[in-house]
Amino acid sequence: MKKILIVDDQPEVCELVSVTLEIGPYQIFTASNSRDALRLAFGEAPELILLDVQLTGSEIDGLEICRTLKNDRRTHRSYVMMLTAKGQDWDKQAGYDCGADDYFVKPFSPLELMRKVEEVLG
Amino acid sequence: MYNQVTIEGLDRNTDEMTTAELRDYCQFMRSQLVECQSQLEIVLDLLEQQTAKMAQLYITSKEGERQYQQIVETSANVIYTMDLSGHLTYINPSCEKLIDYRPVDLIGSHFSALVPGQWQKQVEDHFKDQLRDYVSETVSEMPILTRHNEQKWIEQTVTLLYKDDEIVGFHGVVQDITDRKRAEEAIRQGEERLRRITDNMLDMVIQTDASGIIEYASPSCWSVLGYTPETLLGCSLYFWIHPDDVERVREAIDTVDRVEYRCLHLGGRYLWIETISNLLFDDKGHVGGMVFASRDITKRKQAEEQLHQLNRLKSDFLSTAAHELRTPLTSIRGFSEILLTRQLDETRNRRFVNLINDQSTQLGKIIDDLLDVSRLEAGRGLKVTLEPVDIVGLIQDVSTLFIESTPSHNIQLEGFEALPFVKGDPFRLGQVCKNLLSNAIKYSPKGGTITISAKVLPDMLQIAVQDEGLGMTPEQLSHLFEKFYRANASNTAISGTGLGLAITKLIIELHGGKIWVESEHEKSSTFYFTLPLSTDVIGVGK
Repeated sequence: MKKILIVDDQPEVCELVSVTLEIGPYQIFTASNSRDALRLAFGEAPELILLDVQLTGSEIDGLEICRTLKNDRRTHRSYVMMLTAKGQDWDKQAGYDCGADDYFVKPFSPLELMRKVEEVLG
Repeated sequence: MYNQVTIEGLDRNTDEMTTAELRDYCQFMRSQLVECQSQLEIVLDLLEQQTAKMAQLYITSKEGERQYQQIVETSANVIYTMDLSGHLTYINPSCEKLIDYRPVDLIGSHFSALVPGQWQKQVEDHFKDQLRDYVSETVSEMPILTRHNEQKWIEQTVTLLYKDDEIVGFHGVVQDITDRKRAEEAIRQGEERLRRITDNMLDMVIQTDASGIIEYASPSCWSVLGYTPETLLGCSLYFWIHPDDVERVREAIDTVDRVEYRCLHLGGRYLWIETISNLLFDDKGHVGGMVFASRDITKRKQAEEQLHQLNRLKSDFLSTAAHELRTPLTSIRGFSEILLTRQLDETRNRRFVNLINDQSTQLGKIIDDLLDVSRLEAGRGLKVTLEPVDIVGLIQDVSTLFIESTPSHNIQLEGFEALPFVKGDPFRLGQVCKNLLSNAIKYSPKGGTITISAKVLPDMLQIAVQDEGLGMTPEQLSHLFEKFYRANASNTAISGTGLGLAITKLIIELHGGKIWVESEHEKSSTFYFTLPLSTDVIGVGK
């Protein structure tokens, strides 16, 4: 089973994404802060990581997590999809600059997200 | 030149001579005669030549006089002679073209008839001085009147006129310089006008040579930059320009472009200046100098900077606001789509509908708070309707509300027996109290005590709201009053828009008060705020 890690400081969003993807053949992990996110990412090496940018109360934000993951041999193959309410062009650019593979803006359609995830994970 | 004829033996009487002697004598005399005759012929010849030459000379001089006369008569210049009393004795016909008089009108009349009144004395003195000092030739400029009383300008060369070694008058050659004078006058007036403009304008005008050395600086350099024009002469144009801007100014001058840059005021501060430059070309088409018109645009720059900052703040605010609005919308949109497209059990159905409901409420709150913030921010200096407010009653009312709705916490009031009224807006102050109390409850564990106390300071009333909560880290404290900051956002037990304290701070500041917080991490936080006392109503406590 392919592994998916969801990182979001808002529990409702973690729940929403989990519920969205639970019907697929995936093992889902959630983290609400950067420390848990890195621990799970390095430990589980998920195929897909859905990453929020603004993580209130965390040591580093989603962009920094993305950079860290892409620079680590354990996780640099993971597909990183930013999933954030920051939707301006320069926000997206910042995401891609940090090595993100894709960018999804909140609010989003769960159906579309599901399709996207299926496409990425095959 | 003639040979001396010596007749030897002339003292001898010829009667006493012998025949032979007489013959010799006669012969000698004859030869002498021949000699005399030939010499006489030479003299006659010479005389004849001289006479012919004299005759020729006479003829030539007559011709010359006639020719001279002709030249004078037809000269484009006016030529005249005048006797010592100032009466014209001759004037050529050119005078008609110059002043519309015929020679016959003028000969015999006094020169002063042709000179404008205010110039007569000066012209007369000029002639007198020339005469007194035996100046053979003078050149002078003066105005002259035509028959129609129009003024023209002439330049005349005057020489003294002699007859038999005696001065008998003046001889003048006159040139019409009216056009030149008018052109000169136009230039003078133009310069005068330009000078008046540059001397009185608010903008600075500077002229430099080709290398940028200042040759003229308008008086406004003093009013704008504090330097007197005199101190600037000979200085380089660049001496007062901010070092970082010099290159840009040079480029702009090369391309004859407008440029904005900083200039050092005599007082030591930098002003923003806008300059338009222009190149001056000499007769050969080379750059002979430059002219700069400059003005102080410091105020405009400051306004631009403020506007820029305001725009940045606004756009920051908008993007933050958009982010905050999208967050609850994510749950609403996502869960509603899940509900619409999936078959779920009853428990999950209820839970997701509840989540949607909660997040909609949250969205509504955020919108209310956003409107509040933008109204309050836009209304800096705008009125909160200040009136005497009974703060004791107000806090008691708010507390009662919370005591009833939140029985899990203890709310205590200290020192609220008798207090002076404050100056304030009751609705807004109610909002402040509600925000602070709900924060205290949110961040305190159940069973915790919240204490509200009051203290009267000179002119101000200080209120403190203390909780027994989580306290805050220095990092949290530093962001506390920022918009959308939430001290513990990941804890869903604590909901909020992140705008409450920002709004509270704005309200307190609009009242002329201050708000601050003291906190011990993991132990407690105390929010303080002050409000001005009302001078109209003296409360019981004072």
